[in-house]
Amino acid sequence: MSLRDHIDGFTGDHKLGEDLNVDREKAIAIAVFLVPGLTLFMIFSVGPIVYSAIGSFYAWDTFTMQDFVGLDNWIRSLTDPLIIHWSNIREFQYPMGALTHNLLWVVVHVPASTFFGLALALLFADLKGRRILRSMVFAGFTVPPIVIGLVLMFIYDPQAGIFNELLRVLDQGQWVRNWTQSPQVAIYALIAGGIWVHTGFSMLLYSSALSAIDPSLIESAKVDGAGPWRRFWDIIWPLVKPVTAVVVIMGIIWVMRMFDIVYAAGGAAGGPNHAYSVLGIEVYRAAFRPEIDYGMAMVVALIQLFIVAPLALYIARMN
Amino acid sequence: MVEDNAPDSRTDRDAGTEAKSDGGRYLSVEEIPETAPTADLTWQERIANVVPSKRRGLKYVVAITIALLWIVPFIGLFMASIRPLSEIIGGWWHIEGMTITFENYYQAWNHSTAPMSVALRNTFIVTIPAVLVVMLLGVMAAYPFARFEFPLKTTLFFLILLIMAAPPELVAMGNYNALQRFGLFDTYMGLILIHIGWGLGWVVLFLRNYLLGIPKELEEAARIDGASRYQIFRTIILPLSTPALVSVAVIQFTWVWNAFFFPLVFMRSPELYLAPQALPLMRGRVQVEWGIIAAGSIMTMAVPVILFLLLERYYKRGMVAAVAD
Repeated sequence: MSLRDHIDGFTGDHKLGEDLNVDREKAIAIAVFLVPGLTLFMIFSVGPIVYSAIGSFYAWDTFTMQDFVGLDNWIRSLTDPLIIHWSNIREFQYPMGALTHNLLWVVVHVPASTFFGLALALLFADLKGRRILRSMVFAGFTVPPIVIGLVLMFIYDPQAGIFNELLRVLDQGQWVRNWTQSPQVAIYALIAGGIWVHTGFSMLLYSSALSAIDPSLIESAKVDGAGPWRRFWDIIWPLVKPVTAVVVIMGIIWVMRMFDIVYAAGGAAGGPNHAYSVLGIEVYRAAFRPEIDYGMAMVVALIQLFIVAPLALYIARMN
Repeated sequence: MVEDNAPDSRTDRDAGTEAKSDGGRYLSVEEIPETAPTADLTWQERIANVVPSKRRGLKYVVAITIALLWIVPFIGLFMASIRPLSEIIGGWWHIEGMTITFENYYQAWNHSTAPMSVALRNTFIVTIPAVLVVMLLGVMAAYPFARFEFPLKTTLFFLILLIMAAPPELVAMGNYNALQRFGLFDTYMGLILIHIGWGLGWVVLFLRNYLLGIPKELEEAARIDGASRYQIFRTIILPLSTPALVSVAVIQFTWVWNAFFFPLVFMRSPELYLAPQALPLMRGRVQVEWGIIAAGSIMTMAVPVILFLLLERYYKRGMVAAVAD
């Protein structure tokens, strides 16, 4: 049998049993396929995460690990007004702390982009040229987020920005301002931009779910006299509901990773007086801008992970 | 809308809501043909006559308006890139007396602090190897995940999932110290390796799901014919996973090209700056240099956007499969 000949030739080990030979050949093959990729994955992804998890319990002299300090970094970070600013939260004054800002993104951005995504997917679903319409909405998602941030600054510029021009045309001139630099409203201006970019992604996921619906179902409902509202709630919604979980979770992951747009608009400080800083910005500043505080950077990055990890595992369980 | 005048074309695969399984004989009821229905569709004519066409026209108007409004910011960016600063400040939406100039592109290309000519070249140097290596190592690692049992498989799977959700900031500190130690900090190689390590997680998961859909019988037949596992991989698995690999290539290219945080942390010499990193530096001192920023932005975004438009189907299918499967 040629297979056995081949294996024998490959391993050159005739003393072992044939089964063992096959097993060994298989084990070597698995190793050859896995090792190069997994090595890089372990060194550059898993390793640094473990390093951060351990390092968050140690004191740091800039980039060098010092003594074990227990929960010191954790307590210091969680009581830092840059992360949660309790007194400003009570007065609803920005800055309210990066964690609060991130959660505000989740609360405002995620429902809005999910809703608009579904609405646009339904609107485009049966139109001619829907491919082009969808690509127009989706294109923003392929653009570098740093460009999105710069575009938002341009839109909200008091002179050159089209948003302020719109306000002037609508006779609301008293509202004209540099939106990305006004501490109390800037975060909403940026969230609006986030929704603008991210809706295309939600729409894409919904569109593919809608295209899986058997059109004859909708046709027969129509023949039976069901209006658009009934058709949506009785046929379409039950079928796209599972996708909604994915859309919402991907939205939360996207928002919790927010960095580029905020950096473009507000620099490493996250806006004037950190008015719309997010957790990613705080990690960057703690780790790579003086005064360097590696311990705090690790804690804040781990908080980001803790918020999204259960959601990712939920998606995995769903399938 | 006449751009897509084949509503039930078999090529529109991601959106084939109708006329797929039934061979294109049935149009959805709302799909009123602009041309007269063909003779064998007479029953549709009756339904089509009942449905009010005005509503459908309105739907088109709303849809096209929304899609156009959606790209207004990019139109503004483009207009700003081809006009002098004085006209941009007056508002790019004023069309009369418009001066078209390529001065902004010239200035961005040869910018004193952040020349786009260098930044774009650096971005290509980092992106192309990061994409090619991830594709190769990814499909290699995905193959055992899809076909064989081996120790720690579940643990590795769990780790990959966890890292897909993790923020890039989480690996920055460890990688910073690691690259410093290996002497790879502030080099192309260092950034490329980090992008590979970071991208492998989702690529392996995505390709594994794809490979699970390839029937095992092909490989079994090849085994009986005496092919080694490596030959099977090269002659069966690789060719069959080409569509998925194209998806991986497009998405990974976009991700690496667009990445801002990793270059910001790991590339510190101005001559090594990547394009997304260079853009915020073009702002200017007194007056924001909108024209130059816009020109630089257009040059930076052109590459992923053109790639997306060319390989749109692969991009979208990959995006959907990556998160939904």
